[in-house]
Amino acid sequence: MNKERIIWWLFFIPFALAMVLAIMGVISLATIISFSPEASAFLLGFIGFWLFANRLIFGYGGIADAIYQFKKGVPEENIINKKELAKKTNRALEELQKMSFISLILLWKSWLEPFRYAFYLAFFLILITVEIFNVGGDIGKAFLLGSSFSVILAWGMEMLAAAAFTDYNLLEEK
Amino acid sequence: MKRISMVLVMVALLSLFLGWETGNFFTGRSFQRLISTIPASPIVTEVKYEKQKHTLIYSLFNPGGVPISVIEENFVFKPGKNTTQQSYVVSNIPLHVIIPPSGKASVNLKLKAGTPKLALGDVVLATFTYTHPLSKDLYTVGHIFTMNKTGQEKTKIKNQKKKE
Repeated sequence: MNKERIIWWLFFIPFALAMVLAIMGVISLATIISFSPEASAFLLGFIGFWLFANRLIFGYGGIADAIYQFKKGVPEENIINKKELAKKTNRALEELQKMSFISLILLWKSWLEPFRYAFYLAFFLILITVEIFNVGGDIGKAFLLGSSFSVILAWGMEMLAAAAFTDYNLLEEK
Repeated sequence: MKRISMVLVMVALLSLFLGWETGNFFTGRSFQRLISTIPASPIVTEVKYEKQKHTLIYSLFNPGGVPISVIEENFVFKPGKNTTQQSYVVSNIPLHVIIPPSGKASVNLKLKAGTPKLALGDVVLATFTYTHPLSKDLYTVGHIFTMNKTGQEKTKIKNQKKKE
């Protein structure tokens, strides 16, 4: 299991546990939540949104890392795992063998695109309903704050990948 | 390299800002929850003497987070140099005025019928008995009013903290 999956499970297990306990109405959890509903909403927002952001964070981080390695001179075959990429993007492995490093990076980026769209759309909707329509009041604001942390990390990683792309002058190569 | 460092700086600033907001948010809420359960004693902000009705109108302000019920008023009248009236005491006038949290209420104090109108230098010590919903105990607040030329007295409330 690679790092991405490990982190994802690390976040998913407490999240699922909390949800199951809440649904089953276990008393201890209810008292914890009632003691500070905002803190629980914050944690829920953070963990919940991280589950969505995990793929983006590791994806863009991986892109930035791959570009850095390429520039350092690591041979192309060792940077990107072509088989995994072929499986994820539903393309034939032969197709990927023929592509240059830059096009692989771009393929990777375009694969992340729909997740990024859905992720920001979800955050935008929550932002609108909590801030403008005041749904959820204090608890909604706490939830929004928690999710903002994951969003900032995902956005930062995306900016990092884009910056790495231009900073390392990949397009000028050959 | 320049763009990457700019990205890192931006992310750091945004995270700092977000962390600040989150911290403020949580301490603000817990602080609010704390002070909303503290009962406070009412403050007399304004006293007005109505000559026609021979009544003193007290404006009471409740700075706390719990509503206050004023249930009784007593007062002592002490004459100044300009009146012949003897001093007297009136006690146990029942009242039922509720002052909401961070709110004001007016309480009327009818001076003894037949006594002359308040003259310069007369002193009225009014005592209000109040309770708050957290217990059955009785509390009192006393206010000394000295008659002046206008018949009005205003008190400024210092250090009023705004609730976030």
